[in-house]
Amino acid sequence: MYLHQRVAQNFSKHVPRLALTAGLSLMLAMTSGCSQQLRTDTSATQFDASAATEIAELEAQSQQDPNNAELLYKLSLAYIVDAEKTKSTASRDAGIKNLHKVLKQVPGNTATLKLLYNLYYEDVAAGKDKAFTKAADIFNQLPAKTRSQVNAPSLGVFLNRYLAQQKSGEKNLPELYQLLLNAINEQPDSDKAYIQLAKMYREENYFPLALATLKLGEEQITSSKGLYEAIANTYEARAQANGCSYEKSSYLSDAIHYYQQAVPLAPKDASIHFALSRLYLDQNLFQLALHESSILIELDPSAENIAFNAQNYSVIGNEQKAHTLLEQAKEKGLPGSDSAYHEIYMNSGDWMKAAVSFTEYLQAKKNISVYDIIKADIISQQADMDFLASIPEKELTFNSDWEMAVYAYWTDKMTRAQFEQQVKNRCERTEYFFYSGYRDYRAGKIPAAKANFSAALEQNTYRFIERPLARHFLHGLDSQ
Amino acid sequence: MSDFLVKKLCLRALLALSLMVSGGQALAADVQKAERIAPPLKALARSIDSNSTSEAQVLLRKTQVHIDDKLMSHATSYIAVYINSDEAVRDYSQISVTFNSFYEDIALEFANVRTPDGKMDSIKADATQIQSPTDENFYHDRKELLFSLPNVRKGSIIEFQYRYTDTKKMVPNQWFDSFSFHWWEDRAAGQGTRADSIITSELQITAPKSIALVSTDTKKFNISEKRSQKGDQQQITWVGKNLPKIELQSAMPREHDYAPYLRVATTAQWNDVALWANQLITPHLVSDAKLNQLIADIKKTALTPDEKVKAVYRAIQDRVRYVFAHVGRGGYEPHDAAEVLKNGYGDCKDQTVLAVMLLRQLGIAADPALIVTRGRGIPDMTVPGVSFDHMIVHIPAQNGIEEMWMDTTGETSLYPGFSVGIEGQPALIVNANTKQISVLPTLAASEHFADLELVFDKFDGRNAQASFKLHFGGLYEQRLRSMWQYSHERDKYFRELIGQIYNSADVIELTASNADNLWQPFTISGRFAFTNVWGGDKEPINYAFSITQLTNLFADLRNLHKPQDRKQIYATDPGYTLRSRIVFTSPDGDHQLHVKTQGEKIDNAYYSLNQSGKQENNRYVVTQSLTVKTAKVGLNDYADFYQKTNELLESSDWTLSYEYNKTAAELAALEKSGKSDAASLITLTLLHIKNGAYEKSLQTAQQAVKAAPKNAEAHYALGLAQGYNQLLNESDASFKKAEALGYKL
Repeated sequence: MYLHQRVAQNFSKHVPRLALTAGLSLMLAMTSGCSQQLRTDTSATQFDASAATEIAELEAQSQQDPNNAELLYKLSLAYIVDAEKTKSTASRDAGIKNLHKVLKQVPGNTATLKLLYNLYYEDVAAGKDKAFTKAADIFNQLPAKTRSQVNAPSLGVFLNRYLAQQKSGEKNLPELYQLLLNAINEQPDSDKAYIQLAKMYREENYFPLALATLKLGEEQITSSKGLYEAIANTYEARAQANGCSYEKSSYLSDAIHYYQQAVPLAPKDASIHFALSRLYLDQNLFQLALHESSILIELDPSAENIAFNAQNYSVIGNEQKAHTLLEQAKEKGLPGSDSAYHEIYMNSGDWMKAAVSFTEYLQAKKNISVYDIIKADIISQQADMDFLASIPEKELTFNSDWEMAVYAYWTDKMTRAQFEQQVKNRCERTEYFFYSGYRDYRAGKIPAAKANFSAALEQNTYRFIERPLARHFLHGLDSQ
Repeated sequence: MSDFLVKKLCLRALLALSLMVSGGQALAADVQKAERIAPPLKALARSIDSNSTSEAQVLLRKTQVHIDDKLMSHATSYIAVYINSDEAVRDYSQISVTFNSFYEDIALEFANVRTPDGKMDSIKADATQIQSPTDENFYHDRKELLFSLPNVRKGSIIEFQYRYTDTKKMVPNQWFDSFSFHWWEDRAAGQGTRADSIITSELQITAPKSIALVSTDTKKFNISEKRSQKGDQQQITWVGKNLPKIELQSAMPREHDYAPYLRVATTAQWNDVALWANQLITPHLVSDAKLNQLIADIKKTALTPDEKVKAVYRAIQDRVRYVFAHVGRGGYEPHDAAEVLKNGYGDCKDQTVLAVMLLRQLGIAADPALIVTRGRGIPDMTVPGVSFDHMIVHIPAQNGIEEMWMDTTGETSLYPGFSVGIEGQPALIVNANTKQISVLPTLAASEHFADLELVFDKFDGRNAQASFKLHFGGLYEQRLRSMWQYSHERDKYFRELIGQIYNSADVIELTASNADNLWQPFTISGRFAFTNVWGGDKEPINYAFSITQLTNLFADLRNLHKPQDRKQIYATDPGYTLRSRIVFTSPDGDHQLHVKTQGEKIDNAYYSLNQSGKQENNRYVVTQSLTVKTAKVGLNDYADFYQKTNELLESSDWTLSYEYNKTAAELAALEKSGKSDAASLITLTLLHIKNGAYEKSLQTAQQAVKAAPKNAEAHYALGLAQGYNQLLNESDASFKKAEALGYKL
């Protein structure tokens, strides 16, 4: 019953978003960059609804004054706006043709080149024949500064191939890697391809290569928030990939280092402070963690972020503050099914409230984990309330062998000795001691229970829910 | 292209377009007694279209030809023209009619002007004369009747009637002529000719019934033909009504189809013409001691047929200068072969007779061949005629040599002198067995070529230089060689000409090779100097090249008529090829190539353009090949052709730059240093990776690890290089090794 497991659920809106940043936002950038650009550029032209009339008038003016590049540019925009509205290929082609005419008259005009490039980039992403050559031709004519504002031509090919592979289900990662390397070559001073490539390496568990790629990018590009975030994110993922991030705290320190570098580049980005808060807590730097979570709330006072802050206070034992914040989150609209409720109530021993909120939590879930079953048992035992009526309707899922071992021990299909043999790291050891201690506690073996709860606390797995629960039960035993 | 098509006339065409040709005294003494063959001018004036905006209108063009039983003819021509513009006033104020004084006589019967106010004015006696056209290289029998009309003004009508009479037969027992249904008037100041619209054009031939007259088909020109007989005479009348103005434009097809014309003859057999020419030439195939000695000399050194043909060509090139000297000979009869050698000069038929004589004596079958050169277009040859203007040697395939057409008169065409002026033109091989007209072969577009090789090879401060070499074939070889041979201030002219390839550059060196060697292609080489084109040191150097830099110099595609102005079929004839190989060199190893734009590939009915670029060590090589296809573009397709031409001219240029690149500079310095220690190899690996040279990075990383197996950084570099070469598991292992050795990743 990892707290961090629960945190991951609770903050899925944050963590997965970070994980997807390189992917999803790159996709968005690659697909919408052009139309955003078009919208930006064309907004100034203020065309009315009668595009056809406008085009006809501009055509007539242009015929009268064929060497007027500005007029031709307006005509191009009119065609492109019309093409956006009507999806007319003819209008789009006419727009492109007129942009070329503009370039003949005003070679190297940046606005024209950029507009034309974005159109060709769309074609590249759509997989149109010869589009790459055309796009590359224009891309190479863009001034260096403008070049860094658009996506490299090979990113368009990557997008096309990525989506095609997704659609067909035929995975060809080397092809995608190579396209991203091409994009890096075309545009070495843009972070997008580095980030995307590193993300793909990371997803295949090539963490060192992912980090080395991002650091190559860091050498080329100074002050990229995206790169720093991606490096930090990769360190976090690498720490976690080992099974227990607490055993790779140097990676967590590295992650903190890079998130910190991202902060001044995006001082209003709440997600960085969320990550820092989480990592500081993992490092037992709870004052810093609380500070970061306070910045998080300041920047984005959402119900979820307030609940996250409440959980932080709950983890360090400040129940009063945790409850106050939980109420604030509730007022902000935190759903009753959110796990923050029952976990904070459990940590403070408010078992009846925990039972109520846990019921709501369970009802909202499609599948349940072994930790939900354990929670259900503990709450029902502590609150004297039966959850069996709702649990059988849910499907039990396991994410690892360890979870299966936990379930086996909890349901008496495995001995304590056998269970202990399954332990591989501090995180699992935390659970082993806590669940053993709770068994001892329920069996009235008080010294053994106290020893096990103490041992669970000594693992220093700071964001585990077992930690405040162990402290709660230990406190109860001590006061007996 | 027309500039390339000029061909010296050798034979003087005698009867072609002979309605413009008459003979005799300038103004007949019996002017007043001449029988008018046209209706009264007052009646003709009623046909003027007063709403017409045309500059001039020919009201009537009428010719009556009478052929007697000895096949001698006399003809009377009448022309009336309404003058409707100042330009037409200038052009029609002086009339010129050329004729061959050896065979015919001309007389102007009358010439009048009806002024806008209705007054009639007649030509003055001192305003007409017969003169020889100025032509310094030719001594011949061509003359012109020239007369000036008084008081020609806008609104005037001019009329004149002239008569020409055969005085000698050119071809015994035969009669040939050809006629244009338009009146071709020389423009003032030698600006070409004009053929205005014509209301009625009529030709009438009267001849004894016993004479068979064959003629070309005029139906395609909407000219009616009517035949009748009266007594022992036959009469054929051709009439064309409301014939439109003919607008001569550049790049028209060689065929005469743009203008209604007619050929009439008393025979349908080309063999009759061949027999006549053969009997005219054969008596002149005579030798003397000097000629015999030349034959003996050639036999000593030239052993094979191929060597013999070349030796004959060389002998004539070396010993006989091209001069036309044929006063009082009628234009078709050559001098004796021995005399030609003795004189050391001769025209085309003289040189041909000498060449044929030599070849035959050397055991090579050869015949003279009469040619209609490109300058005269391609007439309708379905009816025989004597409208040739050149003679060359035809060598049929024999004894290991292929059929050959040899022209010894050219000073600008490579052996065997086959020039664009005769390519694809009609020819009559002169021997007793010839039954039909031959057509000379045409060269493929790839054989008419201009090739440019340009290498940027020198950088000095802010300046750069490029060497160039131009190779030519076909029409370009002939034209450029000719220009080199004949231009005044040749060096200056050619520097300016070649300078058009790069307007911003100076041609600082210029050398021509083989200008007088007709056995090797003419080439031009030299150097361009570019001033202030590079900031030097860490500044970028920008290059550009476009196929239009060749088309501007070697083609004329920028001055096409707009579709609405094109009135004639457009011909690309012959097709041709322009090629280039441009080597853009990096100023030093610190600059990295940045190809900004690439030339396009184009392939359509008119053009085929292939271009490619290739990066080589320290340079980028662009190759281009543009084939302008042989084509005839009808008016319906002209707009498409015009558009495709513009697309070609506006197609992408090659633009590239070598930009200073820190990575490239470091890489170059490191590679140059030749260092192979682990640290250098690691640095090299990382630089290769930054440069996108992943394969190279793998090699150097492996070398680094081999040089220092315990070096953590070397394993890190290897991990990166392996990763970017898709060796992902190996990469992971290398990174682990690096970390195990203490690398902080």
